Amino acid sequence: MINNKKAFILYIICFFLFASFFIFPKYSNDTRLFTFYLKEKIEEPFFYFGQNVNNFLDTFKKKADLIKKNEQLLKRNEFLQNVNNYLKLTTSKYNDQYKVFHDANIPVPKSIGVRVIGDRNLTFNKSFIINKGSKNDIKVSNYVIDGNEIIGRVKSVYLNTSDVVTVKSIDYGEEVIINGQSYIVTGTNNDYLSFLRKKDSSQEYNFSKNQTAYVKNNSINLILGKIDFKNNSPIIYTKYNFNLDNLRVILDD
Amino acid sequence: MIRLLLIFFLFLLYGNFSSNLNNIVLLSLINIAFYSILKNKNLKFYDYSIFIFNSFLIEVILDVPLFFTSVILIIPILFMNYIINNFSFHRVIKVFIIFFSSLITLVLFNNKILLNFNFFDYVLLLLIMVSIFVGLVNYGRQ
Repeated sequence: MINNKKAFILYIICFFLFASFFIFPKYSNDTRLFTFYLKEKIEEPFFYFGQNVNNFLDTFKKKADLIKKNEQLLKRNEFLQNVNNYLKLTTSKYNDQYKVFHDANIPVPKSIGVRVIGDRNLTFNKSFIINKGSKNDIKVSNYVIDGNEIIGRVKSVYLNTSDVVTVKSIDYGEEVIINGQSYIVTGTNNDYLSFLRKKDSSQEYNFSKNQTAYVKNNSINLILGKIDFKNNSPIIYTKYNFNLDNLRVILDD
Repeated sequence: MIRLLLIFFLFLLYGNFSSNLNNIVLLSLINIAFYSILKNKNLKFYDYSIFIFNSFLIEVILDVPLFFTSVILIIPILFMNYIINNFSFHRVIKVFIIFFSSLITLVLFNNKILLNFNFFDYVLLLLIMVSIFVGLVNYGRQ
């Protein structure tokens, strides 16, 4: 089968590479993230060309299509404005109190816009790669959000790219607040998160359907999902399809 | 060279389409990997290098341990090569073996593909089978 000496030497090299990556997963992650960085860089001219072609084709679109597209954009804009108002409200709620004690306004969390590289359908694994990394102050465990809803958390970081594990992934775990009480939840690789255990074992589950589960991040509450019941057990439902077009990463202060 | 170019462009294309088209792109990459090993009885250095490069990119895309395919999964594929090339199968049968091995590999990664299978989305698969056949006719067992 392998009569070739060169092929056998290549196999031995691959074996040692495989062993090294298996023993040191950090290098495996870095290699993966670097490959995606290269992919993004090579894709750039194609994207530029594609965008120009799309813009050119848009000029031939019918008026009805353009009106429809405009309506979609207006809806999206309205949603983002609502989110912005909500964030303003949550920060202003305690602002006066905070000002008295700290002589300063509540710090608004810094965030950075990111784009997804590679698969955005989450078909094979419930994680994706974003085009910002440690150069942009992104750190492991930073939240990735769409509006004020959590999409996932940063799992590993390279210079210009990061790996994000979504809330749907079985690798995702979180402390959530419902009715002012803390609970530990975990992803299930499905569209919901299940409760692992109560933070305080004396607590009882006392939820009603459609209650919102929050995660406290400094001064703002981020929405994780809504309460539902499956086989009489409480679960947290997340969105079936995430919108990965306007993602932001919340940076540490 | 054709395979290298195909691998390069398929890797760039992956992730920029709908779920079904992405699956077809991935299936094409897996097909090239199987084709590289199964096309000849004796494994050549060039074919093995292409297989390593191709499987590395698939592993990067799917977030599986790097070089796992080139070191561990190559062994059953080599046995498959031994069986296929020692029996004088017709090229068409060989095409089906390569194609269905790739399809099974893809389904093993995510079996939900079968549930959402829509034949008209996958008409392009016929193109992959034709290209495997053309490849075997031109560069197959020598």
